[in-house]
Amino acid sequence: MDIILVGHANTAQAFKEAVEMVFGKVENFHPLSFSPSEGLEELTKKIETAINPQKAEDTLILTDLFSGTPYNAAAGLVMHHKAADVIAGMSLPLCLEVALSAGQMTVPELVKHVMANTNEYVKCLSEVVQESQKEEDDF
Amino acid sequence: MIIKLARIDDRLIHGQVTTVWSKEANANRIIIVSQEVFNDPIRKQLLKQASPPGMKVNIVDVEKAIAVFNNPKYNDETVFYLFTNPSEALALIEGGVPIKTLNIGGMQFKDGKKQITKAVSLNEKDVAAFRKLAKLNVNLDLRVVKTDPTTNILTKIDETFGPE
Repeated sequence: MDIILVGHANTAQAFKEAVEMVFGKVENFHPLSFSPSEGLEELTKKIETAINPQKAEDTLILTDLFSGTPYNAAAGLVMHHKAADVIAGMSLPLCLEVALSAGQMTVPELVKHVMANTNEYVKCLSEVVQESQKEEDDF
Repeated sequence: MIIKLARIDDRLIHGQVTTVWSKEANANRIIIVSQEVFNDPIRKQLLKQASPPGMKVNIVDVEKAIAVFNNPKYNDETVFYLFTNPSEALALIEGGVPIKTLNIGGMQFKDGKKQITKAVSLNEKDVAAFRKLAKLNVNLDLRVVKTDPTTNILTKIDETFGPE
């Protein structure tokens, strides 16, 4: 599976580097930047160029903000069958989950798997501590 | 207890461990075997709250780890052992816990240690423990992330500390 990462400014490249720090090399991750001087059309072209047309059905796009320009550009491409799907909400846990599963699933399977676990991606200490105190003590 | 994975990583539960190695281990529990952490209630609580989804985290000393391993109550439990250093891993193995492969992920640099790779620094005590582990036929797999190539830590030890 090919993963195209698109985020505001240079976040996509940074996410790829972060994934490699935790997971290891991800040759199938293709990060794209989005700068203030670019518009929807330009970004759409940039994303389209990064997709291997032979692998459209096996290409997932990750963007940062739902209904931001990267998402809107990606959504347009998916509607035109230039990529399989797009997920907004790019974060390190999301990217890692995708890196872990990309080799073993189709895009629809991976999307289903990721979307079922989104509650694992944001955590707060005070809530987690409350939860873990309900559990048993050491042996 | 069924041993799924054993790793030395003095950051214990952190990104590489919660995402990749925990999934690789696919175990019910992470058991951290460390006298130092066992004696530190705040660190214990911090580690417990950081447990990966669906996994229990226990912090024990070597003695307790051996007792738990031999407790029939946990016969069917799968475990992922974490250590901060090779000496406690060696003590556990000498105590009868049959760890066949020990993954070495991270041991940070401190005064009195020599750096052998980007992520691993050792002192003489560590070196002696690794050499003893090798003599007990424990496979010593030096790998930070899963996709790194496997290196036997003894090769790196000999390069830095000289042959035994």
